Amino acid sequence: MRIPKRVNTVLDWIEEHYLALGVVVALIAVALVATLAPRSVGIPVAAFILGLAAGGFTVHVRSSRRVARVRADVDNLLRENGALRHRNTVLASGVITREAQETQALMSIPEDDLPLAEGDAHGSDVTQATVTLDELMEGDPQSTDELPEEEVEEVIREDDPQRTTVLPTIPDDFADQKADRKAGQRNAANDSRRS
Amino acid sequence: MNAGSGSDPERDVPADGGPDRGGPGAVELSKDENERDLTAVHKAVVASAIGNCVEWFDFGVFSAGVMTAIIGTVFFPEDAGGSASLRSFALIAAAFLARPFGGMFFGPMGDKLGRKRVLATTIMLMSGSTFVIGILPGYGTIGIAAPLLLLLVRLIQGFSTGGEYGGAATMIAEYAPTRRRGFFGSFLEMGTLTGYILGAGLVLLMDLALTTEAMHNWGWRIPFLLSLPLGLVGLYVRTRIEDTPTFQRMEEAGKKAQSPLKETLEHYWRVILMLIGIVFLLNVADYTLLTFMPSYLVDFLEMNDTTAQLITIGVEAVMIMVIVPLGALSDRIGRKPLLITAAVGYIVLAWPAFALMQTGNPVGVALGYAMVGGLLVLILAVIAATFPAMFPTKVRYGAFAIGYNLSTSLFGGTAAVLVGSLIDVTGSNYVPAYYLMLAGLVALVPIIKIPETAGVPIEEAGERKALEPVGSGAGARS
Repeated sequence: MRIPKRVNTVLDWIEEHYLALGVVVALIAVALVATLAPRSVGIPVAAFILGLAAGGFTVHVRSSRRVARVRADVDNLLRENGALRHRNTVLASGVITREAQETQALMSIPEDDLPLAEGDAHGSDVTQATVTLDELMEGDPQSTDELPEEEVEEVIREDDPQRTTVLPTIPDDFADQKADRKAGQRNAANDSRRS
Repeated sequence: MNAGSGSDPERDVPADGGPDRGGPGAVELSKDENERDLTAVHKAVVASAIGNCVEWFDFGVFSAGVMTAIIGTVFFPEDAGGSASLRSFALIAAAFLARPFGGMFFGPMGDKLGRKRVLATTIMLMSGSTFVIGILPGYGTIGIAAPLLLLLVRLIQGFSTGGEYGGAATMIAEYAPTRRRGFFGSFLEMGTLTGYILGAGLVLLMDLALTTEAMHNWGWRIPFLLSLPLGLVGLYVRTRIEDTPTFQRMEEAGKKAQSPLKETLEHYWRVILMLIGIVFLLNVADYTLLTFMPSYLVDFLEMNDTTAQLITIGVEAVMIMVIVPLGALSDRIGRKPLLITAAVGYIVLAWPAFALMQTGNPVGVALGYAMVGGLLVLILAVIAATFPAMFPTKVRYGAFAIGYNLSTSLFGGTAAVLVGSLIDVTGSNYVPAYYLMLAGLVALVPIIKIPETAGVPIEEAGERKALEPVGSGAGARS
């Protein structure tokens, strides 16, 4: 036999509150018995008992709802607590560091300051490739490029009374000379790497 | 989970119900600390309840039928006007007159100096003055000085009692864990009933054991003398405990009221009025049941004195058994449901209760008496937890003592005399019922208006900004 859904809900509710309902029924019975007493006594007593039953059941239902709400909150907190404990356990075991987790969570940012090159012979992703730095020149990396001696001598005159921090003038073709020198150095480096 | 203020009693109070640490960010206690704190709570409950026991022991002795007759003849000349009982009732009334002054003196002092010191003083004064009654010479020995000295001693008793109940209830309320304040507070009224039964029971036993002459000559002094050891025990326990944690925290935070009496009367007079309204019902019911009913049964219902005393003591013994479970129940369902049930109950059942008593049948009398007593115990179970929580910590002792004792003086001390006189005037034995119905109607209004404080930490209870109970206790709003 199939029980209609509404009837089933009511039966579940009765089962949930069967103790309180039992007390209410008992009080109603007592109230009915009290009506057997003389009217001046029986009716007020019966009315009080019925009021007590109604009020008590109302307090019980409100209290049950409050307890159910608090239990749901507690369950949610326990669930959240369990998830946090699991995360802490994983982190503490050193499987992945917190920073790595955060880094992996970040989106990869394409490097747009250099033209995109094609993938190298190993087939790796161009966007993940780091920028190759220029080969460092020989000598002291802290020193600047030195100008040719003859050009410096033209500029510096020891008898100049105004001489303080007079910079030598740069010849017009100096930039071209420098570029040629650099190209030569780069080609030499590439040749040595290939070999 | 929390509504209203920010603190969470679920977090602040240890799982096994240790004393209320109160406030947000409270530190969790170790198991040893919890056990030590519960021990402190138990000591505070004993210390508070024993004072109440002494107070009502004296009342039970003094108001016992045979004692009122003896006192009225030993301390007054034979040709004094009025009956012996009436003279004794006048002495009882004198003690009530002094109570509000005691409340105004000791209450603010307790808010300024601490609960512990004031309670040690009041119990010494109470038990000492009761003891002095037992050693006072009668009229036949020192003449007119006898009733005058007796009156002075009664005034001192009343004065000290004015500071006793407010302090005792405040101490328990401030020591008890938030979620068990009703449970622990009910022990105070258990002390009340126990003291009354001990006093009245002792007088009854002595009256049965001794001859009339022996009782009249020296037997009547014994119960008064026994109050001193009781008082000394209470003094010992009170000096062995620290002041309440709530008061200590307030003191450390520098939040004590500079002028507690002024602040009490200025800012909390409305709450005091509500307290007076509720205590009106308490006192009418309490003193009608305890003071008036024994003589009502004998004088108006023509019952045997011993039967009347046995019914009184029997009903109160049952009340003692149910008061603590009712206090615990109030922690679950709230204080107001019990108070509302009592107030409505007196409105509806007072007349039927006295109608049952008019039958003259001992069963009917006992049933009617039990109805009045059963409704009274609903109030007694929760007042020690309800009343202190109506006021903030800085004025709690004073405001409670002033309101409670003013109401007791006006309505408690006069209940027996007023009801007796009205019965004489109207010729109706239902006057006590009408008085109870009136008191129920008057008390119902403030009972509905006061906020529910079950589940509210005592530091926040009574504060105007935090009237919403918090946590999952009975007081949480749905």
